Amino acid sequence: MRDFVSKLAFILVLAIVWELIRLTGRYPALLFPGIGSIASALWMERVDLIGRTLFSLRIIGIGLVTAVSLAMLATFMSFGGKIFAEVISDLMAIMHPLPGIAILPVAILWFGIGVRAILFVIVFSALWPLINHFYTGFRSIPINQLEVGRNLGLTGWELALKVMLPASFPHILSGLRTGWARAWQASVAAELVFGAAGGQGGLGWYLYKKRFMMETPGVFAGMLIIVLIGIGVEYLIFAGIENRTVRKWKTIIN
Amino acid sequence: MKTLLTVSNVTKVYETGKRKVIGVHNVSFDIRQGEFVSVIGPSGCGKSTLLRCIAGFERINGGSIHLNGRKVKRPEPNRFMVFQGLDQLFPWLTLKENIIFAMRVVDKGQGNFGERAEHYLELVGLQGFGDFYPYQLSGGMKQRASIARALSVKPQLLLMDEPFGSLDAFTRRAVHEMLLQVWKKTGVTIIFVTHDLEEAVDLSDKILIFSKGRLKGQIDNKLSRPRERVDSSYRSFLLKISGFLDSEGSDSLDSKELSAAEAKLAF
Amino acid sequence: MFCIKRQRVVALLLLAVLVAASFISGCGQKTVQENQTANDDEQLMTIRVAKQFGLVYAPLMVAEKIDFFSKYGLKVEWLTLGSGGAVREAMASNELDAAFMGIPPYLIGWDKGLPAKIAAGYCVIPVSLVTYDENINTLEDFKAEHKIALPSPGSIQHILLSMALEKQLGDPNALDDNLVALPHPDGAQAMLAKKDVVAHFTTPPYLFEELEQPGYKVVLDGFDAFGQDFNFNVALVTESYHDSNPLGYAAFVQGLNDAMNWVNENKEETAKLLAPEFQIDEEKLLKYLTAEGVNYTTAPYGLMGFADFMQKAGYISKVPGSLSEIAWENILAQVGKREGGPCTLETIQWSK
Repeated sequence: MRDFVSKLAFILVLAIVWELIRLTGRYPALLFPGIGSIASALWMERVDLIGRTLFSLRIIGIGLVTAVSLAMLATFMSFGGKIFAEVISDLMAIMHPLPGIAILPVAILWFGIGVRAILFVIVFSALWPLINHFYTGFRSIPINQLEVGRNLGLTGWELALKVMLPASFPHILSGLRTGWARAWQASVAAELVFGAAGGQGGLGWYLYKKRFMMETPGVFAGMLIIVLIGIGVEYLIFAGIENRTVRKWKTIIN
Repeated sequence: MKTLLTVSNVTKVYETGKRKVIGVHNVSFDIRQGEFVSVIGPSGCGKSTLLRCIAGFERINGGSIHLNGRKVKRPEPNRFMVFQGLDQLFPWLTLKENIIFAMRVVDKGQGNFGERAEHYLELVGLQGFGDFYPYQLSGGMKQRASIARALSVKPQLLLMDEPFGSLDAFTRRAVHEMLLQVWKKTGVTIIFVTHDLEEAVDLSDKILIFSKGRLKGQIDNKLSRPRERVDSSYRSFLLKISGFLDSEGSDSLDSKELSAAEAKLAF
Repeated sequence: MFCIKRQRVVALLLLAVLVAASFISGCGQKTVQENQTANDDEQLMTIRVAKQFGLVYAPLMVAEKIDFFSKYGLKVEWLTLGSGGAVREAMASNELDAAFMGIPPYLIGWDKGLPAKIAAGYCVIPVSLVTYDENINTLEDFKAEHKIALPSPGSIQHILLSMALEKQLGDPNALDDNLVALPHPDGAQAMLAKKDVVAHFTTPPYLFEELEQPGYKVVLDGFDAFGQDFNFNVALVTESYHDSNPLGYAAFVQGLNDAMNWVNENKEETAKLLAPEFQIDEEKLLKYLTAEGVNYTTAPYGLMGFADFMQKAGYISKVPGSLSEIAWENILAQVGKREGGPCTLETIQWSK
C-alpha cells in the first residue's frame, strides 16, 4: 500500500513537472500537449481505446499461450534427447539476440499482412526468452526432488507436471515476466511498422494512426494506456502470483 | 525371519566418456524382513551406487535384485529412498502437503490423508509442524519430515543414503533415537548407508563392509540395545570392525577417510 | 515510518526539480545556438530542408547535386527524416524550415496549428490504385478479404480513395477495413508476392513497375477521383523562417524553380545523374521521367480541393477560409484574384 502511495506521488510529481515545462512554452504545443488535453483525449476516445486495448490484449494472450506451450514442449524435448537439446540450444544462440520485430519481413512473407504476421512476431519475441528461462529452471531442479518423484512412481508427463513444473516455478515466473514484456513490445512495434488492416488493430495501430493524424494528445493517451497496462499487469498479476508462490515458499530468484 | 531382499551377483559399470568405471562388482547378500542393515565403506566405494541400484534409479549391468521374489526393474514406492540432501522436501508444499502429495500419488484413490499425515509427523516428532514450509525448518527437522514422507507410502524397504550426513553431532544423536523408535514401531526393514562407523554400530543389526565396489564382509551386530558408546562391549566390537577394515581393505580406504575413522576411535 | 515517507517525497521532489531544470536549461542552450546560427546567416543564409528519396523527388535530388541555391546566397542543409509524420513534427518543433508533403497531410497539420504555409506547388504526378485481381474492375468489386495497401492513414492516397468511394458508393469509409498501411516499397513487394494485398494505391516508380507486370491494371486514377490535376506534393516553409528570413525564403523558392526547370529541359542528363542513386539503368529512368502524366512544375494545382471533403469526412475540423490561410504571398500572386468571377488559375485550385 505504501508502495502504491509513493508510486502515486511519483506520478503526480511527474504530471506537475510536465505541466510546468509546458507552461514555459519552450516546446511547441502541437507536440507537447497539456495533461488536460491528454485526459480529455482519453475520455473522448474511450470506446476506441478500450476496443484497441482489448484487441492488443487478446492477440498478446493468444501469442503468449502459444509461445509458452511451444517453449514448454521444446524444454521437455530438450530433456528427452541429446540431439534435441543441441538443436534447441543452437537455435537459442541464433534466435535469442534477434529482436522479434526484425523478422517482420519474413512474417509478412509467410503469413501475409495482418493479425497472423503480428501474432508470429509476438510468438517469436516471447519464445526464446521463455525457453531460456524454462530450460534454466528445469536444470536448476534439485536432483533429490526429481528422484523423490520418480521413487513415488511418477514418470513422463506426470513427473513433469507434478514435480518439475512447481520445482522450476521461480524460473518459469521470471520467464513469463520477460515473455509478457517482449510480447507487449513486439505487438506495439509491429503495428507501428505496418499498421494492421483498418478494422483490426491494437494500441500500436492506434498510436500510428493518431500520429499520422497529428493528434498528439491521442498519441500520449495511447502511450499512457500502454504504460498503465504494463504497471497493471506487473502489480496485479505478476506481483500477486509472486506473493502467493515463490515469496511464500522462499524460493524466489533475482 | 523370511528373506525380503536378495541381491545376487550385482555388477554396475559406469561409462564416463570413453572410460569404464566399475561402481559395484559382483555383490551378493540377503536381507531379512525387519532387519536394520548398515552399509559402510569409504566414499567412492560403491555403497551409494548399490543403494541406488536397489532403489531402481540405476540400471544394473549384471546379476539381479529381488524384493519378495519380484525382480527390481524401476523405482517404486515399495523401496523408498531418503537422501542426504536437505532439499528433498518439495519447497512449494507444507510438511503435511508433502506427505499428502506422496500418499496421493501412491494410493491414487481417496483416503483420510490429512489424519494419516498427522500420524506420520507425530511418529517422527514433528507434531504441530504440519503447516510449516520446508524453509522454516532446521536441517534435522527436514530429515525427520523426509523420513515421515517416506514412511507414509508404507515401503517394505526404507533406503537411507547417509541421511544424517549434513547434520551436526547433537542433532544426529536425537534423530538416531527417533529412527530406532520408528523402526521398532513400524517394523520396517532399513538399509542405511554411512561412512561413520559409530553410526553404523549404534543403529544396525548387521554391517556390510564395502571397498572398491566389492562386498568385503558382513558382520552381525549382537550388542544389546540401548547401545552406549562407553560400554566396553561396544568399544571392543568397534575395534573388531576397524581391525577388519584395516586387514581387508586398508589399501582401498582412502587415507582421509581412515584418519577420520581413527580419530573417532581414539576419542 | 512517517519520516521515511517524507524523505521519499522530498527525494521525488528533488528529482522533479532536477528534471525540470535540465529541460529548461536545455531550452536555454538551444536559444543560444539559434542566435549563433542567425549570426552565421549574415555571411551565408541557410535553410534546413527535409530530403526525400524517390522519382517524384528527382528535382530535389538534382538541386542537391547541382547546387541551385548558392548563387542566390543560400546554403541548404539537407536532413533525412524517417517518415512524413516525423517531417511534420520536426517542422512543428522548429528543427526544420522547409519540407515537401502531400496536401492532405499538410491540411491535417494545418488544422492542428502547424505553423507553415505552401511556398510552391511540387509536381503533378499520376497516383493510381492498381490491382492484379481480374475480378476487380471498380471499387464496388472489393470484398471484405481484399486488402488495399497505401502509405499511411491521412495520406493523399487515402484521401483520394475516400473521395472516390464517396462519389461512387456514397460512403467514404466503405473500404476502411480493407486498408493496410505500408510504405511504397513494401506495398510494391506485397503486390508482387500476390499475398493478401490485391491492390496498391501508389505513385511512380512503383506505379510504373507494377503496371509493367502482366495482368496488373489501374482500378482508380487519382486525377479521376479528384476531378482534375492536383499537386502531388507542396513545398512548405515555416512561418518563423518566412517571417525572419525573407531573402532566404525568396532564394529557396527561386532555386526550386531553377531545379524544376532544369529537369524539364534536361531529362536525359537528369537520368544520367540520378540512375546510380536509384540503382536502375539510365534508359529505364528516362522512360519514367518522360512517362505520360508526369509534370515537373512548381505551379499550384488543387490546393483548396481536398479541404471540404476532408472536413466532411472528419479528418480536419475546419476549412481554410481563403488560399491566404494556407499559402504564402508568391502563390497568392501567381493564382491572382479576378474581379467578377474566378480565373482559370483560381478554379484549378478546387476539385470537381
